[in-house]
Amino acid sequence: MALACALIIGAGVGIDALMTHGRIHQGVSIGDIDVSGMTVDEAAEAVQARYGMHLAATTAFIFDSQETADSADIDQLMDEMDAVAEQISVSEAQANRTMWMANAQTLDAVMPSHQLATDAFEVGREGGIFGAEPCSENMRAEIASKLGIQYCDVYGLSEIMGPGVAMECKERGGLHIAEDQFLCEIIDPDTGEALPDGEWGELVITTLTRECSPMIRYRTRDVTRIISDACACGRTHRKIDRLRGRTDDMLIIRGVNVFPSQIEQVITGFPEIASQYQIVLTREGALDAVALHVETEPDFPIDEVRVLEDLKRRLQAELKSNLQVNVDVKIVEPKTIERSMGKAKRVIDLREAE
Amino acid sequence: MISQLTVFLQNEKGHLARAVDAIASAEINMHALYVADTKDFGVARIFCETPEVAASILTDAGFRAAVTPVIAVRIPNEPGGLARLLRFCEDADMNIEYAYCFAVRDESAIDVLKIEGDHCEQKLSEAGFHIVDHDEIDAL
Ligand SMILES: [Zn+2]
Repeated sequence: MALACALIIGAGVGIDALMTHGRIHQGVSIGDIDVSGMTVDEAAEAVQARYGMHLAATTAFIFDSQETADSADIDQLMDEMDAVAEQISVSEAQANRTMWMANAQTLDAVMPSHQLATDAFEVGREGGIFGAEPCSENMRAEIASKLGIQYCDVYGLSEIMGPGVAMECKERGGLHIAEDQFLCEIIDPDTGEALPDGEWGELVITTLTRECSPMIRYRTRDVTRIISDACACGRTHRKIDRLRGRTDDMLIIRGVNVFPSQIEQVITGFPEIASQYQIVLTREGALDAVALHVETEPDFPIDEVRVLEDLKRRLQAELKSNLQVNVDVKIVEPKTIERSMGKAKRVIDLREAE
Repeated sequence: MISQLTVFLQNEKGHLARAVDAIASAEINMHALYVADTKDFGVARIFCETPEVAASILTDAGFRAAVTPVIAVRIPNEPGGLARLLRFCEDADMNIEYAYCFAVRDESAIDVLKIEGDHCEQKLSEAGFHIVDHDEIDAL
């Protein structure tokens, strides 16, 4: 009996590097052949040349790297793939999978090189799983539109298992928790008291199946809420909302908890406003004062004071209704707000200094 | 229509001076400057030579600058000149967004109007008002 197990792995690279038409995306390999940039035919030929001979022998296992080959337990690997397949629909499995298996037995011991090459071509063309926390709404939209795929957010943390604790489905209304593996709770970060579903607080995770170093009520410092409504996708596992930030990012303004990400979300709803912003906190007497500095997009008409004042008023009203805090919006000249590729200094807290 | 240079400025010390310096260092001559200001920002409206060039110089220097089409009307520099013009606009249902005027050497004044709606320039011209064109501005 000949069994071929081929792993096709897609590695993360920049968006523009992924803009390939008719060619396999960057970072994709079949077995140990880097097929990025190849057409389907070229990849099939390369696979045949490299593995065709091995398959003619009795049993062939093909791995993406030497490390995997050294550490792999074939039975466990198969079990894992089955487990993944059970949890998600077939079309989504095709869109999301990063690992392929071809059973040579059913294929009459012929290397399915063309099928593997076609699968490799499909990597990253339907859906992408992204785990970058600071990714803004605009950046998600850019990735999705440039690559023509659905952007799926994945949540995880290395203390628990890395990515995979929860993942967004195609309905985009939150990330389904792998509740058969993890018990998730939301607590008030200050008192430790458990909060009901729907309320924002710190996510606390207990591992249910881990035998080696289990985590019991592990405090993640990530702020989210549990969404328990039925999801249109059909999964019954509850969801967590997009993370608002870390408990350490939380600002307490006049006794109200505010996250910079909430402000960012309001700004995203205003196409006239550029994505850079800065929050300045000061103390006016005994009260906190919040100013939000924003810039207009280059094509926004600056000629009429009325139009600028109106934009400012609308943004202020939207912030008030979302945050329950009065924010003084200040439209500033371009390049006044510091730009940085990584974590920009979004909050300037002058309250202590005064 | 003629082109006016518009610059968005934070209402802070030195910002107007920096904008005017940028225009001056490109040796662009300014004819008139009018600033509308609020608590935290101002909009400077400038009549100058080559407003398109000035706008791109300012944009490169980090300002938010644009060229805005406005109507300029030349009226005799005497009492009632502006009143007649504004009365006509009101009677013709023209909504004036803003207006300002400056006197020129030959005893007349130029009124600059930003009016909402179409064909305003034509209506003013038909009513006998002297509409200023680009060449006239350049000759100032
Ligand atoms: Zn769902």
